[in-house]
Amino acid sequence: MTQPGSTDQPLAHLRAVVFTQAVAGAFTTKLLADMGAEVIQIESLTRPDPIRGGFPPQLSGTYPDNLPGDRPYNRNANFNSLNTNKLGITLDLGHQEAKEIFLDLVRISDIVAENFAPRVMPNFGLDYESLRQVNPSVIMLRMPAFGCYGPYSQYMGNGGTTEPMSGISSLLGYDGGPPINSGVMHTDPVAGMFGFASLLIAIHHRNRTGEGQIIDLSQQETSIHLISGQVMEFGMTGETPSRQGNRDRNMAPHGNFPCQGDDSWIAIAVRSNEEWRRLGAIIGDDDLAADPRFADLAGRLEHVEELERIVAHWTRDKEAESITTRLQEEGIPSAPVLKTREVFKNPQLDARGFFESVDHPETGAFLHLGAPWRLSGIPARTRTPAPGIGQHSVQVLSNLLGIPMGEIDDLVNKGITGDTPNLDG
Amino acid sequence: MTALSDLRLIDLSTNIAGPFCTKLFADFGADVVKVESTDQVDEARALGPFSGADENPEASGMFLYLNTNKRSVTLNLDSEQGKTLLRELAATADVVVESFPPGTMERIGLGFDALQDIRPGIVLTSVTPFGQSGPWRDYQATDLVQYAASGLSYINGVPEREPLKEPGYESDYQAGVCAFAGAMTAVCHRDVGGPGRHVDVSILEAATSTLAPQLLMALHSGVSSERRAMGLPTGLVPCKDGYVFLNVRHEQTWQQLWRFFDEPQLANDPRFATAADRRKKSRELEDFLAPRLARYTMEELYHGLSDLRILVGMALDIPHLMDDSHLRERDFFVTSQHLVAGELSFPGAPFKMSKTPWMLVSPAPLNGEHNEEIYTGLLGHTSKELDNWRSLGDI
Repeated sequence: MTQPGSTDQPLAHLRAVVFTQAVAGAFTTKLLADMGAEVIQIESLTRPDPIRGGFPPQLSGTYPDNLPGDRPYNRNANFNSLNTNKLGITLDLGHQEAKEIFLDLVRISDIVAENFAPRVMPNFGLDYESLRQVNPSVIMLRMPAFGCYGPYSQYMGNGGTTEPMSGISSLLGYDGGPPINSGVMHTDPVAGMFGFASLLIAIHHRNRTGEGQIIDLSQQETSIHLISGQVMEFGMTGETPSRQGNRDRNMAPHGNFPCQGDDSWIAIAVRSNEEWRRLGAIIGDDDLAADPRFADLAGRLEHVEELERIVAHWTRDKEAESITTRLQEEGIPSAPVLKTREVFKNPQLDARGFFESVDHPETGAFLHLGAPWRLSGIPARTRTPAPGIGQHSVQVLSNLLGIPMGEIDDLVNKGITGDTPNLDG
Repeated sequence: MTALSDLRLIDLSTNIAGPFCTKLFADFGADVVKVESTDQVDEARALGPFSGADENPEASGMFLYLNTNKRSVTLNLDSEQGKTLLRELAATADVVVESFPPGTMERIGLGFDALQDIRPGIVLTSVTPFGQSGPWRDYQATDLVQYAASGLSYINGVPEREPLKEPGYESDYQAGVCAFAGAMTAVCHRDVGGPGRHVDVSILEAATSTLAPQLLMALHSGVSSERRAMGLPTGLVPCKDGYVFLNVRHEQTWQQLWRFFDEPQLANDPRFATAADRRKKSRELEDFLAPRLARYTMEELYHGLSDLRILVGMALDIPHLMDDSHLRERDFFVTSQHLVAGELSFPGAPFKMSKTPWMLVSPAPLNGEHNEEIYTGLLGHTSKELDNWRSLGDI
C-alpha cells in the first residue's frame, strides 16, 4: 500500500484513525501526518468533511483556477491543504458492519481523534470505553468547541463563536470602538496546534508505560491561554483590559503607519529609548531624537498621538518595503503589512520553503502550508497529497484489514464505503 | 504520575515564546531548569501586569504565568565558569530551549553539534522571530511585526481604518506551542531510537500557519481579502448589553430565529428569502435584526438561540470570562499564592488528560531561587565553590 510514513520520519511508528474534520481537528492530524504518522481519515459518503466545500449549487470552497470541476470535493484547496500526507477512507457508521470495521482499525492503531459535537461518538456506541475494550492502550483525543462536559458542551460552536467566547474579540478593536472578530477563524488552527501537542504528551507517556488515555480539549480554553496576560491584568489590577488598537503599554511608537500606495502600511515597534533615538534620527533630525517629551517610555505614551503623527508624516510618502529595509538595518522592528497575496512573495518564507508543493491527481501541482517548524535531518515534509474522498478505502480495507474483495464490493453496493459521495443520503 | 517526569530541560529562552514552550513541559511534569544570566534577567519580568505602582521584577504577571513549575538558576554567560556550569547542566538534559539571536549558541560553544558531543541524543529547540535561516533571520520583530508580515493584520479591522494586530502577544504563544510540538516530536522519536535533532521554530511561520484559508483563497483567486471584520456574516452584531456572533444563513436557523423573536411571519420577508440573499444583503439584514437583538442580553440570546440549534457566541470581556459558568464548571482558571505577588488567577489546563493531568505544583521561581539546590544537588558542587563563584560574579 502507499506508505505515507517512512522510517526516517519521526512519528512513522504511529498509526491514527481519525474523524477530524473542518479546520481545528484536521490541522491536529495534518501535523501528525506531516511528522510521519500513518493517518487514516474517515469520512461518510453522505456527509463528507464540510471543508471539502459541498456540492453544486451550494459550493463554499476555493478551487484552483476557480474551476470546481466534476468532483469539487476533491479539488478544494482548503481540504487539500489541511489533509496532506493522510489516507482517506469512507465508512457510514450508521451500519453495524462499518462500526466493526472501525473497531478493527482501532485494534491496530495508536490514536483515535475526532472533533464532532460531544454526543456524536457515544451515539454511534463508540465512546472511549468501547474503544478501550478492543485496544486498552489506545489514545483518544476529543476536541469539540467547548469540550466534552459543562453547560455549553452541547451547544454548537465553531471558530466564529469560540473567538468571542474566549475573550479575544473583546480585546481586538480600535480604541473606543466595538469588539471585533479576527479576519480569519483564528481559534480553529490554534486549537489544532494544542491538539497535536496533547497527543505527543500522551504518546510519550504510552511509550514509557504502555498506558493510553482520553484527552478532552476545548477550543475556547486553548484560545484563552493566548491572552493570559490580560486575564492576569484583571485579577491583579481590578481593571477591565480594553481595546487599544495597535498600541501597547510597554512600547511606543507601536503601530501600523500609512505608506505610499493603495491601502499600504508599515508596522513599526519601538521597544526601548535607544531604539527611539535611532528611529528619531532616521525620520527627523537630532532635535527629534533628543526631544525630551519622547526621551522615555512614559513620555512617549503620554504624547503618543503627537508621536504617531510624526511617524505617520514620515512614512506617508514612502514605500513600505524600502523603509522596512532601512529600519531593520538600524535594528528597529518593522515589516510591511502584507496583503494575503503578497505573503506568498515574502522572501523569508520563500527561502525557508514554508509553502510546499505536492502533485495532486485532480489539481496538478498543489501549494500548501507546511508545518511551522523544521527538524534537522527531515528536509521535505510533504510525501503524499490530500486524499480524494474514499481514495484509499479499498487499499485500507483490503491490505490492512484483509477484507476479501467480494465483501468490499458488497460494502460499496450498500453505500457503506466507496469513493462517490451520495447526495441523496 | 506525570507524563514528562523523565525529561529534564535546560531553558535559556526569555520573553514569551520559549518560556511558553517550556511551561508546557513543566506543567506536564518535566524538570525545567530556567537559566537566567546574572546581568540580564528575562524580559518577561518587566512586561507586567503589576498589581501596584511598584514594578517588582519578581511580581510581573506575565512572568508568573509563563514560568510555573520551573526551577531557576543564574549564571554568567560571559565568564568561563558560567559556560562550564552551563555545559554541566546540558550534560544532564534531554532538551535545551533557547531564543538567542541566530548564531549565538555556536558562539558560546553550545551549537547543535557541540551539544551532541556533550549529551548524545539531546534535542535543541531554537525559537526566534524568523528562524535560523533566510534573509530575515537577523531582523527584529515584535508581535505587531509578526502579524503584519503574516497577512493577518491586513484583514483585521475595518476598511476605513488602519489594519489591526491580534491583541497582546498571541503570535508568541502560538510559536511556543509549535516549539513544544516540534521538540516533543523529536522526543517521541527518541523514545523509539530516533536521533537528537535541532528544532527550528520561526514565530512568523507559527503566525502565518493560522491563515491557511485566506492565503489559499488569495493564491487561487488572485485577489487579497479585505478588512470586513464587523457585522454579519462573519463578525459581531450589537445586542442589549454587548455583542454576539450570529449565523442565520441556513433556512432552518432563519425560521427558528424569528420564532425566537416571536415574529414568525417576518421570516418570509422577500428581501431575505434565501440563504444567498441573506449573505449578499448583510448590511440590510443587520438593520432588520438590530431592533430585535436590542431587546435581549448576550446571555438570553446565547442560551435561547443555542437551544434552537443556532450558531451564536457572546463577546465576553475578561471579567465575564473569568466568571463564566461553563469555565467554572470545568475548573479552567486556577488560583495560586505567590510569595511576592500574592494571590493570582490564570488559565490552568490547556486540555484535560485522564491519566496524566496538567498540574500546578509550584509557582514561578524567584531569580536564582534554586542555585544551591541545582549546583550542589544536581551537579555535585560544594557550597564553598558556590560562594566563590558568587563573589566572582559567575553565578
